[in-house]
Amino acid sequence: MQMYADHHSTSEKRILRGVVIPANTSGTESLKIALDTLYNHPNVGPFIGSQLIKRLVTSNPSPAYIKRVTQAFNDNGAGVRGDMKAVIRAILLDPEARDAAKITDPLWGKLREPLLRYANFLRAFNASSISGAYRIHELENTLTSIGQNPLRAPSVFNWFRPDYSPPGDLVTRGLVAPEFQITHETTTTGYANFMANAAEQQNTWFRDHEYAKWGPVTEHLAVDYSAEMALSNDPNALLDRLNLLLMSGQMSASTRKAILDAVSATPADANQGQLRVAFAVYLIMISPEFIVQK
Amino acid sequence: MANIHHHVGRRDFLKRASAATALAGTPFAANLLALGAASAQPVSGYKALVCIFLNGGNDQSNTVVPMTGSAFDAYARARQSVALPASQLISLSPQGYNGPALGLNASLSSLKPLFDQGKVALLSNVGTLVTPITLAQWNAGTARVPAQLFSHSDQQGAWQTGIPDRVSASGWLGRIGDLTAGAFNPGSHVSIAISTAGNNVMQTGNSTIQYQITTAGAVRINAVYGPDRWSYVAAPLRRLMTEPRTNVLEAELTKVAGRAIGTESEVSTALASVSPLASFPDTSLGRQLQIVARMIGARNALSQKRQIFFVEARGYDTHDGLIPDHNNVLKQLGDAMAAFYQATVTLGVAQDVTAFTASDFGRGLQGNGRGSDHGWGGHHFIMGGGVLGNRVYGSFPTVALKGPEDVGQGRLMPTTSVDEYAATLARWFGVADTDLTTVLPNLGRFPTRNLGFLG
Repeated sequence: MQMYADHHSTSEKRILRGVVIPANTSGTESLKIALDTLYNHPNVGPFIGSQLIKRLVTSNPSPAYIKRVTQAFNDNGAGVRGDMKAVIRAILLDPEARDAAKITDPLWGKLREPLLRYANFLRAFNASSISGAYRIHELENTLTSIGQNPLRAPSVFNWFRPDYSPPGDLVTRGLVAPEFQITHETTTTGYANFMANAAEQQNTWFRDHEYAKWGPVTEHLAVDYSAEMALSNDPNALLDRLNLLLMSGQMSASTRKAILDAVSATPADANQGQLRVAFAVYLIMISPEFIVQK
Repeated sequence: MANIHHHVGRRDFLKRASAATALAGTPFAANLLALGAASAQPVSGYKALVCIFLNGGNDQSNTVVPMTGSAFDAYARARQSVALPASQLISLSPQGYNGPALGLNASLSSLKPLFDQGKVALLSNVGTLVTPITLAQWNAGTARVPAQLFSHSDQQGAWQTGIPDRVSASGWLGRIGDLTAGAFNPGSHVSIAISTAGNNVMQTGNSTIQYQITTAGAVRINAVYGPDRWSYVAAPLRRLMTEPRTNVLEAELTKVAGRAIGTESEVSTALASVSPLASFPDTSLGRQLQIVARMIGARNALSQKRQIFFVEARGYDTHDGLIPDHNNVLKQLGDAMAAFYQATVTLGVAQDVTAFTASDFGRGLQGNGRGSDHGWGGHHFIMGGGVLGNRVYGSFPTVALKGPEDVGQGRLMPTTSVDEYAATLARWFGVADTDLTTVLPNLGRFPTRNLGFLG
């Protein structure tokens, strides 16, 4: 960004908290006063703190949790305001975030937005391309893809509002669930169909000829199932590994049974065990236990 | 390097409605279901409302323009480089209108014949109001006005909730749905409120939960039907996606999936019975209105005598490049609306379908050199066989800086409220007169509950 002095009004400006920017203050200095005033507003700590907690830990943090994170924003312990390392440490190491009992608290957790689910998948299986360039395609398509693409939000308001609550039980309980604003029949279907392809084709279906317009095959991402395929003859061992990689070891007995049934029914030798892995990965990726991070 | 992103169709699939001002503790989460039963007025006929939301704030000043004499001169002076030349305006001859001669932006030429035939009406200077106000009150700072005027997200919320002075988790189309679904659509498995544009607060009711449809119709989760090797997956997949959960977020997710799986087959079957319709423009809005027309065609198969649709056009936030960009989106709007009207004629329901536009706000008359900035009141179109068209409703504003409705920079103080606009549509749709204040709790503050454009 660059300052253009001839576009700057030199008249006096009154902004928040009674702060006055005197007449004839330069544009650069005016901007500094305005930003410092905003930065030092007491609402910034709780606002940033609650937003980050919602993105990282849970949609409905307690006021006490937000207060502790705000205190870390206001003072990192050495008198410094706005030390983001201290803020993130406070968020992730807070007793509320570390409490194992929260895993079974029915009001706890946050919906992983589709892009995070997809990133979890790519990272769990060491996605890479031949060239090292990572090409992605039209992820924002709600019909055929996950309905979200990095840096491609539809407006400056991003993908969803922080205060969104879907009609019904959640709004009645006074809870917010921001990611549900982009969760509906269309996106649920698009995600389920997209992930079926991604899991089975190891994300390589873009290499089909019809996608050639999207650039060289060497830039297409593929995931690696080799470690999982080595376990395909032992469905329990396979699920143990996937539970660790994708679900932080939180898979319930009921979800495990459903997936185990499907994996065991799938012939072990189909694609040298690849199909068993693909189905297990897919069923985890669409399970509510995975989609809601606790 | 090559452009990583594939641009074509980007906006077409981004149908995220904005502005769901959905906070907890909505003050009137009363049991509207009971009121709905009381308002039941079984009617044999069919009716549909179609909201076309112009996302970003439509520039009303370049949509309908005073086109002659001193009125045009005042417009051109205020707009400077973003004024349309008179040669790009099509003269309108509305009945009973005595103001300065009006011209329609030529990009909307497809709407002109429908306006002339009385199928399209113009509602001028309508916007969000808490109560009627005067410019003197505004200037004195004593006017009660909606919170966060001129802000996209807040004013979309105010337009869509119809309650600009309170937090509301529901919108007026949703509350209309609460009052009419039970009476008119008994036995239907599909929501009365159908959106092509993602979750929006406008169609959110207290009992009404909107159904999302794609421009390609209802789409199936393939693996649920277990083709070929997927037979190993189908049953556990369906179970995982839909079985009851104790975590409330997981439970909500299974409800959405249950609706997606449960309605797909029924909607697909119903749509398959609809004869092909005349062609629609191959634009985002054209495709959205085409699936709306097909869902109207499927109304009997869906057991729906009332339908409420929400579609959305983007590209209206014209701070920059106003003339080319606005003309482009208006052309898409006019062409898609005209095709939609013809489709309702083909389906034999032209009298029964009313489409109407809404937007975040109007825009300031004063040009910024390349575009126009956020305003307040704006003009909107109502289209349908039941519309008393070729008329201008409301009070057409003075198009000049420092005019009698100018709250600064040519932003219009609305002279007709969203409440009055919505009430006129709700009454036509079948909401009982006594229930209009359930839909629009502030309605009693305004002079009328029927603007007359639907008789």
